Amino acid sequence: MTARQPAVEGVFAALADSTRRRLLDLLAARGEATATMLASELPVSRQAVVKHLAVLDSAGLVRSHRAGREVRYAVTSQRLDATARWLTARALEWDRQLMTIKQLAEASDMRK
Amino acid sequence: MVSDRIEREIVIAATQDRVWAEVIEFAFGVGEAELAKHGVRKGSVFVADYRIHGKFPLRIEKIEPKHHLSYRWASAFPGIEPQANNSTLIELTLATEGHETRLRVVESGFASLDSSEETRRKAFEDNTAGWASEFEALRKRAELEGSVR
Repeated sequence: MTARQPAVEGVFAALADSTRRRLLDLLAARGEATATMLASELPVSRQAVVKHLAVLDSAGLVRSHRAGREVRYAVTSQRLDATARWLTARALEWDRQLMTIKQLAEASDMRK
Repeated sequence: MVSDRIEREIVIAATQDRVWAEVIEFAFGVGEAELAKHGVRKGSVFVADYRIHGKFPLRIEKIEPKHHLSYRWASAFPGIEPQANNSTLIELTLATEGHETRLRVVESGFASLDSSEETRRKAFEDNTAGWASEFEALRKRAELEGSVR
């Protein structure tokens, strides 16, 4: 694992799918689960769950580890947190821009 | 959960006409009169010159003078026209409230960006720097006008 910046758009794309959001919710509630356990709670096949977990994994939203013959998955919050921070920074940038538009518009109104 | 959009707004003590003029300057880098010469309308592409950051083709999604402007731009790729997978949508909406004007901005479409994370990070940094310098230029021009009058 390298110390890279968050792949924000990977996170957005991963979260764009409702099954993957549901998987994250289930994992968050359970702490840890296998693909088989998750598939039993969703209207999709185990193979589909494995594919969705791979997308979540590559977006850095879940991690997995082997326990005997099983692969167990768990939520990692770091990427989600980083993405939330990124969005916050971008929203603050918009606030600055809106403030500048406000100042320019109000200044030029006063000059009239 | 993380949302795929940013929504911000501000109330401005100026007429909707004045705010619209500043919104045009902000988005296109030219004034209303200059923009009118280009016949910008829905579907057309206007190349905005953001000075040292490059020229950015903006695809107009909707333009309703004094009320609404929305466009797509590929902020990470100077000179490249916006496509679904390289751009975000920016929607600016104005509404008069008494003697003031409410300006709302929505930026959306982060989920469809399929660039590498380096490109994404660069896009953010470029956007931030580009907007900052754009506004700095606007501010200087406004102050200059103020002192001349």
